[in-house]
Amino acid sequence: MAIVHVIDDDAPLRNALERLLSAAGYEVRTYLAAGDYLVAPPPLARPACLLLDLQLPGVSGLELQAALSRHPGHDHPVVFISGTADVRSSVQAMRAGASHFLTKPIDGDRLLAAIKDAVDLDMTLHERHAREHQLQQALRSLTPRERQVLDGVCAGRLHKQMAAELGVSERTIKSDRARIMRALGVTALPDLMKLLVTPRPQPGSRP
Amino acid sequence: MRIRLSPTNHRPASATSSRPACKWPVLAAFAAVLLALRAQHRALRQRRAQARCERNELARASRIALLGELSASIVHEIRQPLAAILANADAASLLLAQPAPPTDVLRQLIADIRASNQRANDVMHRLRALLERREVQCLEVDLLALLDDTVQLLAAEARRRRVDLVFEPGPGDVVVLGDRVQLQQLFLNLLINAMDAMRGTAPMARKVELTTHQRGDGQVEVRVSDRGHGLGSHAPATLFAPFFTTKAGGMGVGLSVARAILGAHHGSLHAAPRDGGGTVFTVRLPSRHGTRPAAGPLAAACPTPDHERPRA
Repeated sequence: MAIVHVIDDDAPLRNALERLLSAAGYEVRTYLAAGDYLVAPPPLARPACLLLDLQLPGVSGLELQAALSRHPGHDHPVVFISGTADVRSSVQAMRAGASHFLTKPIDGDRLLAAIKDAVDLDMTLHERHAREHQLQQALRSLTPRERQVLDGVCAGRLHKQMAAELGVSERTIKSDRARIMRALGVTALPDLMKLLVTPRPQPGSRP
Repeated sequence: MRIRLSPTNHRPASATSSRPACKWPVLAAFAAVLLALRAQHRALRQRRAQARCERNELARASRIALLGELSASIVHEIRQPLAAILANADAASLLLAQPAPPTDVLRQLIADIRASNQRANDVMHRLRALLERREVQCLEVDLLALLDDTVQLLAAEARRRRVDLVFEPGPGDVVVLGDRVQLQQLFLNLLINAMDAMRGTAPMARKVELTTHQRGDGQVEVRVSDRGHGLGSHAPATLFAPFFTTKAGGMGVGLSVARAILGAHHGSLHAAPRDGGGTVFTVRLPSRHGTRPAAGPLAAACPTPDHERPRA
């Protein structure tokens, strides 16, 4: 079950949002202030998103959003809600990577659609991170020669050339390549290229 | 005037003799003067009433301008309960679609909707008195309750500007005689000015303190202090001059209206620099403390709007 972290200092609204999101099937955790959210222990391996009020006492909604990249366990997509239709803040929020920006009073359907998008995004990013982690581990497990073979394959070198450079037989090169492909979880060269050449997301970044 | 020669001496008869024949012209002249005076008095009363009316309208215009400055936070204060009501209503729709709708949750939800509605209502109620066109009243006013209400009115705006607005009332009750709306306008003005003065101050240091203190001379002292840019080189007297303002887009009427309101309430207003930076505005008003009977100016007539009283 996905978690929605609701951060709003207005108690009646916070309670109402909790009821609405619970009824829609989410687990809801509520906080009065940005600080409360950051000190709470983050539950692991559950898709989550933040429903964040722009105007918070102390640390503002925007400030919290900016701080998330420094708190990997708490870094999830943000849906902003605001009582003022302030163009400057909304632009700033979206530029900083907010998933959605909604103004109060919020229509229930719109809110649930935005939350669904944010949670889906969280799952996508999580998968991407997991794959990236896997890839890094696999690369680290390669021997130095296997690394060289991998670089050669990516550069389009022929087996014969690599065999000559590395002082091994062509058959050795071929079996190295098969082992590398297995370790990296690909079956064809194009997939290998895609895996290694696409820009890899850094932790905390957004598409 | 006829001069009669008496048969025994040649002295002429006195002009102020009470003989009926000489009375009417005098009486006529007297009557004419009386009528003229009465007409003049009536005209003066009319002019005074008109001036009073215009002053009232100016005070009202100034009030509306004040509330205009608060409009962003007022809208926010009404939007919040509306947002809670809508979210609760949408939650109720979802809950009712469940096979076994949780009636306890729904009951609480409905109670919350009513509470939110009341909250929005309170905001509008607070504003209505300030916005409507009305005659100046003379009633007993619970000053501490008035100040508390004013602070409530400004709470959202203070939050918006990240200002710490602190109200420290003195002990006991304080009663003043006068017009509640005008008094509230006066304090609204001073408090908003205090917040405005701190626009350039670091958020951590933005503090406005509102305190009351019962003096021994039958007056209550209300102080508004801020940690803003201070009076600078402006002499305190110029602050109250009509149309003087340091605010971009300011009308400059707030303080001169404030002073007029205080004059009408037999009170006074002073501005002075604050120790450690900023400004302190001190309001003095005749008051009654607790249940002691009124003494001095309070027992006298109500706010006199007919003329500007000199500052005490």
